[in-house]
Amino acid sequence: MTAPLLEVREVSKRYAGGGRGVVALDAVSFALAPGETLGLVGPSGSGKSTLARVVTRLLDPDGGGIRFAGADWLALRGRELRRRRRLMQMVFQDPLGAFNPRASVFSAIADPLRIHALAPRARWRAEAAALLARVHLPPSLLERGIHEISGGQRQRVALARALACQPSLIVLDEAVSALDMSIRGQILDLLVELQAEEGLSYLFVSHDLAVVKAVAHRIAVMEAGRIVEEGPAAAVIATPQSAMARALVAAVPRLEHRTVPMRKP
Amino acid sequence: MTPLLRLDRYGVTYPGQAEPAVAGISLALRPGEKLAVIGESGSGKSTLALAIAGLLPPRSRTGGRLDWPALGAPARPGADFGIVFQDPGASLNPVLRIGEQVAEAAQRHLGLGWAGAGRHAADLLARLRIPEPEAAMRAYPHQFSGGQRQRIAIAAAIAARPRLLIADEATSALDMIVQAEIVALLDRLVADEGMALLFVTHDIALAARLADRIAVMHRARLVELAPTADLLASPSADYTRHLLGTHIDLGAPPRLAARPA
Repeated sequence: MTAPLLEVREVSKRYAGGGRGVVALDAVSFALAPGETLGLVGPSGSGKSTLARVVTRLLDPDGGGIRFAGADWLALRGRELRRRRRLMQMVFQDPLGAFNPRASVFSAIADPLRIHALAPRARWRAEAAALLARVHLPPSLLERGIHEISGGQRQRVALARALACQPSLIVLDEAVSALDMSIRGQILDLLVELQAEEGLSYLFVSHDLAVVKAVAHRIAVMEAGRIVEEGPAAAVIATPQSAMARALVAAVPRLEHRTVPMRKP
Repeated sequence: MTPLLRLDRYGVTYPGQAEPAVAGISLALRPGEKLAVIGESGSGKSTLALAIAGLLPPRSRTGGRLDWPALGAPARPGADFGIVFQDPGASLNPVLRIGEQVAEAAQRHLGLGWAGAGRHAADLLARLRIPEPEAAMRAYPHQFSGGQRQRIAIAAAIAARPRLLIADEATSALDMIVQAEIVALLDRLVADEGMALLFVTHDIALAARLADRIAVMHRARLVELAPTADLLASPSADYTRHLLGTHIDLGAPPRLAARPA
């Protein structure tokens, strides 16, 4: 049994407002092993994005503890936090919102190389081109503006930028939800491929159980700030135990046939 | 049966664009029919919905014909068709009470007085499962969840009992559970009212769940139009096959090879 890469214990978060405040996270615990994907699903307002923000330390929890890569993650401050943060990257739903809109693809990918001093300046261009190659984009894209490329390409660039940091964990918050279905599948395939190559862990947050099922080893189901069910992906889908997991399974629209041979247009 | 809406080699080119957003579309929508228009981003599906609703930007160029044979006249927005968008904020006025927004179309087009229009609005809100409809009438849009706002927008869109409801990605911003509720509600509503439905979506499974027929758009063109069961069982266009093949639902095989050690 490998030690977990990420261990979240009894994490709570309450937002101000409405008298007593709103409970966003209620004693949430889970663990994530190296090389593993945990899918976090739930309806709007269930707390899954708050949990992702607490794990990435964009938001401080009110209570509980988090261990990441052998350190007390919530105790890290200043320089030490910035140094360790490289190991945990995040990819959001809207890649445009995550980049300086005037940035070129090159600067988006080279920024972390500069900030974390991962390569000497003379190597940035070659490193950026190599990172693009790992997400299957041509080096000719380096000179393009981040707003000039397609949504699927932008999400690949977001992954390339995350990979530049040589992370052990990538937190993906609705990272494929805004993409067309065929592009979605390609990005999911890329995630699986990168995981196999790098031994990356993913915390994959989505409201869409079908997408989660495609890439997650385990699934945690959230409702009203709590994890109400957790288990191997196939088991949660086949025999959901909680009312919320059953509702999520029932809500996915199904294509009843599957006899059509796959052909590219 | 006389079609409610008919397009004949219809096309749209936006101002300043060389390439048409929609080109050579011919289709007919029957009264009471549920037609889904599907396609990926940039396919022209939303342009088609906007064109039918008369909401194209000024100086857009159109070609071919778009008419309403069953009406015998150009369609009046609100009275003959209603429209809801992905973001209910686009349909609802943030500073008007819900009651006024839903009752307005009924008052204007059904010739009801304010009291009668108000009762009609409360009844509609109840049918769209808005809790405590009388109290909801006095509330403002921001006091409701995204799913409730979309149901209120639907109530406002159908308040004057139009012949057609156009839903342009109306459930795409909602979580799957709320999406499933709204789709079930739309299904029942159009059946009860004898309304036709034009359901624009990028999700072929959602289209299949709801529609009698599916129109597939790709690069501004209609590449296939067929009854739902036929389209799923024997798609004629390669692009339809591609959409079916790349769709991810719970029946799709996992992409993972193995669990980590």
